[in-house]
Amino acid sequence: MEAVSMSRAAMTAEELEATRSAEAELVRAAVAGDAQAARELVRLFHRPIFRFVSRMTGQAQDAEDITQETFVKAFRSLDKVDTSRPLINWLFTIARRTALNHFRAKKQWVELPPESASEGPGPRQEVERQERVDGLWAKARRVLSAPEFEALWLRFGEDLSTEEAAEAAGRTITSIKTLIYRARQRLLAGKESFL
Amino acid sequence: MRLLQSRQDDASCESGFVGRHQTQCPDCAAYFAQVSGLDSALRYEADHAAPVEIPGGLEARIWTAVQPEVAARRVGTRSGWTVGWRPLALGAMAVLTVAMVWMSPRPASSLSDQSVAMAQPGEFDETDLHELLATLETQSTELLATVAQVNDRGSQPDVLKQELIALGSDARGALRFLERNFVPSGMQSRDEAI
Repeated sequence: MEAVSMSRAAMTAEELEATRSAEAELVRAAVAGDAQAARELVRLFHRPIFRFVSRMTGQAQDAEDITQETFVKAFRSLDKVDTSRPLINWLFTIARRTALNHFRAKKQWVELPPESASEGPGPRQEVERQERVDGLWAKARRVLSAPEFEALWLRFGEDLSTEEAAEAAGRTITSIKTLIYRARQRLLAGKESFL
Repeated sequence: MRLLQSRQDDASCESGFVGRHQTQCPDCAAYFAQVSGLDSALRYEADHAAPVEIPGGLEARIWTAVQPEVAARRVGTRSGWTVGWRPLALGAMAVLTVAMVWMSPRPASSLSDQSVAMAQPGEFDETDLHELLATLETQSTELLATVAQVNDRGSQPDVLKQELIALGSDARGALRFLERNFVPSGMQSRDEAI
């Protein structure tokens, strides 16, 4: 199962095929109720999913809750997954929908929490302070729209192909390309502060 | 420019239509150099700059939440067997039993089926009873073996064994019912465990 945990960007075609095969094997075993296989799936994918949700929301506690809910939903419908495709893309899709539902009531999807009236740095100031030391991605999150940031993160942060990013984001390939184009334009327009 | 970038998006800038255009257009070449630098920076920073810290215990927390779903899958699989095969096997056994009763050699008599229960010892002797019981046992065993082969899942031997024991018990119950209702009382087995 080591192949599954390797970075996809660094894989050859044979290694990618071996990874998909190992993933499919784990999924089949987990669908049959194999606890060990299920645990292995959690071990392999909880980090990228948390990272994705955390980047999207910028809120660690919510990201934990959303990641947990993502896995519960995924295991509930594990028998429906297409094992010929990378499992992580399917998990991204579930995580994205789960996050949208989670924040729908709060209307906080990729938005900063309201400032506190109390003394000292409020949540917004704290996030901005963190962004100053975070670099390009934190700044990208601040200047890009939520869809633009999401498209950019899926494409370059998760290193998905345009097609995979479109699938994970529930958009067309053209839409993803447009969003990435706009995101690049915005980032390049203020490049002196980014690059 | 957007069209060019769209074409370039999943391919190398240096190859194909985009690459050929860049050799003749310094502006586009400069733009794509910027885009390429931005993409590289985005990829690099996603992996290296300010990595997202995974909270301690997150994996355990997720596993705790997921465990009931995994357990439900195990139960669901067993239920699937129970729901799918047990009624089928019982139905097949019932059909087989009725067929055996119909097909078993009958005494040369014009009596109706109901009259068999009142048959005289001379028409249905003890040898016939034992032969009927032995045949039913053989057929039951064969049926159970077939079910076991068809349901060759391998991962749930205990569940399968339990189901087969339950089926065997049902078969014995059916034989007792047949004996009580269709075999003359004077010829019924003294042994309770048929």
